[in-house]
Amino acid sequence: MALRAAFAAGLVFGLATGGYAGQEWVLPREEYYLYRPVPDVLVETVAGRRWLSSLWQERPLLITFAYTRCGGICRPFLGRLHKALEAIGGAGKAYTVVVLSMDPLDSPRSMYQLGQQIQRAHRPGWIWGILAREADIPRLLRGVGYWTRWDSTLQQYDHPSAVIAVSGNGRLVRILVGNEVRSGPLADVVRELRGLWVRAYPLPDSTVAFRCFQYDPDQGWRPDWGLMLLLLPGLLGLGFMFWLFGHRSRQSPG
Amino acid sequence: MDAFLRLENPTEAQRAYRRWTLLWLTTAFVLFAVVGLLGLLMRLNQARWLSLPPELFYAILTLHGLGMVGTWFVAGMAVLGQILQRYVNPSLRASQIAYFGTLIAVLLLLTATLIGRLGVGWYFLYPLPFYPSGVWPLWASWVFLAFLTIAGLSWTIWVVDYLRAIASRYRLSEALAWPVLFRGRELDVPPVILIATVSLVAGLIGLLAAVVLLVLYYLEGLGTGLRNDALLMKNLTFFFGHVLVNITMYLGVAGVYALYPGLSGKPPLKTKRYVAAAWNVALLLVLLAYFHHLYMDFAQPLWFQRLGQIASYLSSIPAAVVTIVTVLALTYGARGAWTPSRLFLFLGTMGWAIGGMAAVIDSTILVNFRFHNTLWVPGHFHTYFLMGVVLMLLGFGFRFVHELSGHEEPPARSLGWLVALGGYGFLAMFFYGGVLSVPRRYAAYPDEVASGATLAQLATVFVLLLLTGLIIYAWHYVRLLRQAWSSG
Amino acid sequence: MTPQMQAFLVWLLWVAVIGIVFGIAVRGSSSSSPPAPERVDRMRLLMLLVLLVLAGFGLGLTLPRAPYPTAAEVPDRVVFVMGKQFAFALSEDPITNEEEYEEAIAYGSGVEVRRGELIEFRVSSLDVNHGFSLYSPDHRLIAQVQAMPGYVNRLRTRFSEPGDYSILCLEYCGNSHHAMRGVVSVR
Ligand code: HEM
Ligand SMILES: [Cu+2]
Ligand SMILES: [Cu+2]
Repeated sequence: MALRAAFAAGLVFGLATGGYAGQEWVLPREEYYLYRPVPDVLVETVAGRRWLSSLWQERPLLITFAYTRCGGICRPFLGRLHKALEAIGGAGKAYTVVVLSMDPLDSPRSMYQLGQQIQRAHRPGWIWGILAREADIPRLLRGVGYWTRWDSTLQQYDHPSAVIAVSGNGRLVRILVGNEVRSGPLADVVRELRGLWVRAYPLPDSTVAFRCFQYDPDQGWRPDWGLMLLLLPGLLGLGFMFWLFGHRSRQSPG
Repeated sequence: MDAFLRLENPTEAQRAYRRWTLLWLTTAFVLFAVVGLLGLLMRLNQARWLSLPPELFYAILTLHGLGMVGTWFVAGMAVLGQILQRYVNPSLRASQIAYFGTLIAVLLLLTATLIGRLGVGWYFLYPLPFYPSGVWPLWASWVFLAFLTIAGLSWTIWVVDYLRAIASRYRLSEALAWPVLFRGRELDVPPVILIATVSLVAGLIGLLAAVVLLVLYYLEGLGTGLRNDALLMKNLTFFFGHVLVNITMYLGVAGVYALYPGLSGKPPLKTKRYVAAAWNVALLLVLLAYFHHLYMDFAQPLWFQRLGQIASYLSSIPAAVVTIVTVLALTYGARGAWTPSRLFLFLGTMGWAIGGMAAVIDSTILVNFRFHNTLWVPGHFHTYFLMGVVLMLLGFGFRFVHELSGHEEPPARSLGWLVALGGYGFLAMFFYGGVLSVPRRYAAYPDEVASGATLAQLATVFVLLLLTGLIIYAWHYVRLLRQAWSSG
Repeated sequence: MTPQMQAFLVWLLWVAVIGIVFGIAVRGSSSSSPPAPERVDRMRLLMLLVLLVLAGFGLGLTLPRAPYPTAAEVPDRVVFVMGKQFAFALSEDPITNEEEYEEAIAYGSGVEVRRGELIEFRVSSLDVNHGFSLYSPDHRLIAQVQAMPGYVNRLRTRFSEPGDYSILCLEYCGNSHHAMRGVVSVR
């Protein structure tokens, strides 16, 4: 089963694979949602109301969900996301980050304050808000493969961490899942939103011995031992040539 | 009668070497006849005039492909040895080891394909040998790996020995004509030494790639738990396969450089600066061009793909231009008779130019998208093989038996026409099949590409013409064989 | 005119040039006197330059148009393709293993899409290499990509004409290679 999980993990491209096996059902599966239109909803921030569609028409979006009452992963996750995107750059230029609450009790104000806590100051290209109509919450979540579950004993939402990439025409192009924000996959998504594209990807398989390039979620493509194997014949052959010609005692032409 | 191949007072060693060359060439021609008829059989089956079970068709495809590639590589090596022998001392022992290795390899290949029904195609793309889908037994895969190992090892020994022979007389810089190239100095190194060095070094590198490939196959096949990466294996396969096939072309060209001037009544060629430049460039680029086999693997890094197209475009130009213009210049105003050997060397050079261009077109990524693995592909490689190297080496063989036996060559006419018409007609059907999107390697054509069957029917007619020409050739060749042998 | 035909004509043109040049040499072999070496050198240089220019031209013209998808456009739909000896399974749901393959095959080796949509095929294989290809209703090869085990290749196509697009296998994969197929129905 671990193999199957790893296989699926590869399809959810750039997924944080660690600790993933056995709980795949809780995580949104990107393949089911790829290129589907994202529901258009009305977003409300302290600055006013805007349709999500007007946002993605401006530039592609990275959407993530959080709520202010969260005593668990929301804040650390947002902190990591903020840091990672700072390092990658491009917010407000290549894409807009939209942090939306899935908690009806949140207000534009509370989300604004959450943003202040995480980012200390206002950052261009970041939008902190709620959905103006409560009924839009389940609609949006379903449309992008996200879910929440109210845990009444803890008085908290149970929910995965995910970043959802939306293209300029409102289609879902990527879902990144996992509490750890890993800059590799995130940088990949940003690259894709910028128009640089991954034509293919390997399926992770721990039994495969050598590859020319390994895909490492943190570092992108990096050369692997297989590339050495490919260079080896050339190096050996040329080396042998120099050795052979260097070491023969030449006879006089006859 | 000009006699490049017939020495005035040959030593006993030189006579022995000549006999081995004769043995090599005769063996190669016999193999050519057998696997060539298998080619006809395939075309008949695709024409729906015959109905072989698919597993037999694909076993024959494998045998034909590998048989042909191997046959012409060893024939080219034998010819190169005979030419080198004028300047250096290739060891007869190495040639003999290669000969017996090749014979064993042929037996193993016959066993794996005809008895075992192993059908993996000539480049046995990983992991196909491990997925027989119930057609061939496991032992056939092992016999096949043994075939590759023995052929690879004996040919490596052969290649290394030629290099040793060259190195024992020339410095590396001389063998690669660097003084001519970089300082414009005159150098007493004939072009064939340069071509030989370039071909042999590239060939050795290709064979080493095969070694890596085979080691990975064995590691997986022996159940070490290691699994291989399909993309890496494909890279290694075509690195080795492309280089080997390309080198075979160069071996035929070495024959042209050695024989054509004499046959046209001109003095031997000198290693000029452009010749030196062209072949040094070839050594570099021949190793990179193989990337064009992987264009349709989007997982291959983009810059490999681009490099593949650039190297494919550029690698064909220098060597081809230099050789083609040289042959044309030697022909124009030469007044020599058009004997079969001269005509075949001439036509072979022309086939190289025509097939080479078909290859360049297909090595364009944009075009490859529509031609990859269609009949265009066998179209182009049969052109530079059948109408290129094969003609060059047949020309060499023809000359060889005539010089050794001391006979004048007959006029070329009908022989030349039959081979040219039959050959190009046969090829045209492959090319047009590519234009009509007919896939290569189909035992039978489905409705979408039923035109493939009609083309195959036309092709068989041309193959029969070609065959008639080759029979005439064989008649001349066999007639003189005994005499050539005893004087050899 | 199909792209295949265009490539063929380029090649025929070349064959004609080669035929003429070689023909001139053959005619000249009986009637003329040998060319002066300087003339041959000039010709060689000229031919080299011409071919290099042509090659540069060809590279400049075709390299930027390599058929690899770019991200500039976002596809309307993704179709998962999985090859296995000897049938292609196609589905809008992911196919990542044998069970999902069997499930998809149970519906037949086909999928329906709408014309004009940009489709992204995510192509892989469960066993050996296969060749995923698309043949237009008039039986011309319009696109292809390898189906390689362990990798997913993304091929993007837009179908302009309605009809059934056959999928044939374009990489030799064993005994029923010629019978391995699938279909994309465009409405
Ligand atoms: C004597 C005339 C020949 C005939 C009638 C012939 C015929 C054929 C045919 C019908 C095929 C299968 C094409 C397809 O559907 O993919 C084929 C494949 C092939 N032929 Fe020939 N051929 C001839 C000469 C040669 C020569 C001289 C070579 C030299 C190397 C050669 C090398 C190959 C190779 C490498 C393949 C590909 C095998 C594969 O796909 O695995 N053939 N030939
Ligand atoms: Cu297949
Ligand atoms: Cu196939």
